[in-house]
Amino acid sequence: MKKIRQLIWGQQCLRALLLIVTASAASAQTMPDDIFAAPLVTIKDLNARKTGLDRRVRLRGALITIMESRTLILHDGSGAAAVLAGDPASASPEVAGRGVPLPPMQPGDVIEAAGEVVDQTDYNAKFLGMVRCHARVVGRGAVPEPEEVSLETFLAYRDEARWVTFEAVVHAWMLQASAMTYAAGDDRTWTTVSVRSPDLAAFPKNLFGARLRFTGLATGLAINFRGADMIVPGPAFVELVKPGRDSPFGAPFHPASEIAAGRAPKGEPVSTKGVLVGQERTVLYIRGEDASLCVSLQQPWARPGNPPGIAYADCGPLPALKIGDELEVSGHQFTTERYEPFDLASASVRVTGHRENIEPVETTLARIAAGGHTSDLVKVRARLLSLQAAREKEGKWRATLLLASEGRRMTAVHQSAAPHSFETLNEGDDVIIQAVVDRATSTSPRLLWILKPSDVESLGVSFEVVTRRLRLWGGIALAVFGILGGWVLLLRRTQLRQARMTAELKTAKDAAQASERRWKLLFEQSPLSVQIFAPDGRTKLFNDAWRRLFRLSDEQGLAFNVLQAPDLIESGAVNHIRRAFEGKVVQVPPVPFPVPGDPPETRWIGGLLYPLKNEAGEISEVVVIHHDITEMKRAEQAMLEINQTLEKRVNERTGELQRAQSELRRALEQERELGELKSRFVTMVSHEFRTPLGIIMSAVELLQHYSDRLPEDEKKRQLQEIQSSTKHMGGLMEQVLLLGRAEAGKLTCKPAPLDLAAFAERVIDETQSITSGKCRVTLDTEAVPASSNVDESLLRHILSNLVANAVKYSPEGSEVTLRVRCRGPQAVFEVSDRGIGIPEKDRARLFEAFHRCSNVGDTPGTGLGLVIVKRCVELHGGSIEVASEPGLGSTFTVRIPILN
Amino acid sequence: MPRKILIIEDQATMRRNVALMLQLEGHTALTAANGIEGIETARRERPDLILCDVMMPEMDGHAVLRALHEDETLRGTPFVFLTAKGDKSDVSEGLGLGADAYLTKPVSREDLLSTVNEHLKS
Repeated sequence: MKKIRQLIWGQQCLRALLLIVTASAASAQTMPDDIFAAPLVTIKDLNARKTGLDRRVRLRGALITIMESRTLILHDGSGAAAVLAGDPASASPEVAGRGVPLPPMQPGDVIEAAGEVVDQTDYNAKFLGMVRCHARVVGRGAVPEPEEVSLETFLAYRDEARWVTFEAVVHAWMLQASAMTYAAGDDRTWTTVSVRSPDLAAFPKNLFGARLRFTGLATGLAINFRGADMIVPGPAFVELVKPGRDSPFGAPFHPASEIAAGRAPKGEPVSTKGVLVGQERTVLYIRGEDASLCVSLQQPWARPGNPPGIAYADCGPLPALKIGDELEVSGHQFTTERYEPFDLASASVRVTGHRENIEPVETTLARIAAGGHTSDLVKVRARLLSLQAAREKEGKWRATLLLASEGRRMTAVHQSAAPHSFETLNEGDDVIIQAVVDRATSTSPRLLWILKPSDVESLGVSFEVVTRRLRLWGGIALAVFGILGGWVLLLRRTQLRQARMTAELKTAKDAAQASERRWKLLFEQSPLSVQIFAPDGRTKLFNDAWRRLFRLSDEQGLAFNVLQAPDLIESGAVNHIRRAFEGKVVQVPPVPFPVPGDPPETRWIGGLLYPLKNEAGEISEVVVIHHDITEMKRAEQAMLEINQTLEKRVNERTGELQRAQSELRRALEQERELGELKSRFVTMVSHEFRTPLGIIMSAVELLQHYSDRLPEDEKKRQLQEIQSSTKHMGGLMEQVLLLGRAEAGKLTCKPAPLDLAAFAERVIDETQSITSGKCRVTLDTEAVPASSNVDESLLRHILSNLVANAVKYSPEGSEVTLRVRCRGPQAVFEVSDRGIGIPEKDRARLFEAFHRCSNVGDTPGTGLGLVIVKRCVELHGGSIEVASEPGLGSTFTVRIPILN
Repeated sequence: MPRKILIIEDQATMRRNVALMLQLEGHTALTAANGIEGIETARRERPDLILCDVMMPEMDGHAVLRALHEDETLRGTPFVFLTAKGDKSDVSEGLGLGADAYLTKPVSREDLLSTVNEHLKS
């Protein structure tokens, strides 16, 4: 029947796959959508974690069902998966699903779902799937049939999920947030199944021992203790095969012996009775009428494969049981090794009465080892061979007692929160121990469970040990008797003692000698210079390092008295040193010390002095350990010199930089002044040209526009104005150009022999000619040689300007004198007039370009003549002075060197 | 309608030629050879327009303008600089002082007359 069903299932899968492929081809053409552009993966790859987490992928499969309107269970032939439309971060399913609407769909539709891969923990189960899914219907197929599997098969699934169905007997159930979790099993094992349901009250309560068929998603993941092995989408996927009871109790009764022998029906609930003789957490040891049982309490939410601490952590209070309670037990027997330690597992108990004084069975290790008293409380006597304590998981301690009796050995174990609970026990003690006998399993040997530390009682040293010790003491007693019995032996003993003492003495002497040798070597080979003084300061001893440091012979060294050394007295170090002789530890700062040698040198030596006191507390010796800091001093000195040199160089360089900076500043200042001068000069030149140009312009325009209305003499006058302005401009231009040449350095001093007297006369003649003989110009020469070495061109500029000026600013017919004298290497030229003179206020600006004196009136002039004169005098290396009296006249005196 | 124009100019030829030209155009030309004389003439004669040089000994054109502006009765008289100082800065300085126009030498008859006429109208 199962085979036929699987065959049909396989055919249906193939058909679904074919449909999926066809549908996807069609949908890709009609619905190009970014969401569905994610890579297509198989459910098998998804479950095997081949797709990677947090990636967007796309699945295509037939819809099995929709769980709670938002989770689709899909099947694509390679496996089954649950995909969630919405955000799992939200606690509420309504919110979680919001924003990702699902189109209408029904089981059997071929669905394409695109979402993010997650390791999902939901529905009290952990499964791989997708979240934030968008889904669309792409075709129509058949609702996939579930695979019929055994519990063991589906529990073995790893990294794959399947749509499966199986039958199981209900052991118990537990209500969780929105699901019912069943513990249910077959004859080999049991599992947990989570059935989703919005209406939990609807679940029947009379399901103990009921047989149910579950159909759901076997998640195939390693499940945490809260999880379920299988998710059933809803009550519709649970089918009642055989009704159950409303209580776990009342199952068919079987005596303990039958159960202990494994003869109870497997997988079915059975019940029995007994007295509780021991309990180790959720494991109970129950003494029945004819046998004892080991029973594991049912924990529907616990998994046998999980660590014990975790497995029971969340199971709520255990039934409050006491030793001696009479119990009714209902549980299950399984055929697999997994439940080997237990006669009954997944069991429920209830107390029916209580019995005081539960007596343990007095027995021997041999009987226990032969298989007797399994799961019963026993009392045995044995010798304690060893006792060990070891830390276990979760802060528990495990004490292991190795026991021996009649050649049998066995381990007894006690678990407790404290590290050691058996302080009173000693190895070798005889003990009486009360414990539960645990059965041997395939993984652990038979052992005894000690339930509390007081169950072990020490009887003191065991008889065996006592016997051994007595034998030893007996021997000793005999020996003593022998010694007492014979004085020969006594004598012999005395002799022996003497010999031993001699040997000890020799050993001590040898040791003392060795010690002295060692101390001597230590002293002599010390790299530190050590010197030892008597209390009066005389030197008693020194080592090799001392000899090397001070370069003195042993005689010189022994003659040295530290309290009388002149160098130390002079440097004041002796004051420090003396304190050591008074019983203090003294650090003497380094002082310069003359050391003989070739050449002799001064070394800087300091020392640490300490007194040595004898037993009476008197100072017997004073020790000094020297330290030589000469090299450090030298390095310090060298460093100091380097520093000084560096400082000097830095200062020099700083000075240079400062000088350079101030020079630069000065140069910049000069440059700026020159720039200003030039720009002012240009402005002034343009102004000076504009004035005559203005006159020319006005004259020309008068003549041009009003010629008919102007009288002849006016016309003539205008023409003259034009002429004189033009002439003025020409002169101005010449002078400007001359100054320009001087500024450009093109005007130079080129001395050549010149007859100064004749030259002066020529200048006067030229001036007379230009000024039309306005004034009488006389020449006065004195001691003028026939030839003097001067620059004719420069001298011409100087003299012609001065003479012309004198004439210009003098009244007509007055006298102008040019006096030429030679005084040693100097030629002196004086130009005197009786003209208007130079007002006091104009003296300072006399040689400024374009400055004209305030008293010039209409006298034409450029304001450049004296500038040119001064420039030429300077070029010739001479000087110029002015003496003037306004209204009376002026005298310009020029001194120039006669060059050779 | 003949108007009274005062020319303040230290350069004699220039002063004479400008006056002559304005007279030939039908105006009455008054002249002054320096600033002080110019201010006195202005106060006395109440000219319709003043033409004034800038660079003059004793009192320059700027000082003349400032002095005239301090005089309530002369403040409204059009004032034109006629000067050899032709830099842009000079022009803006002159106009900044409150001059109505700024003519630089050499000035053409056309520029002179049009400036004079323009400011006489207002």
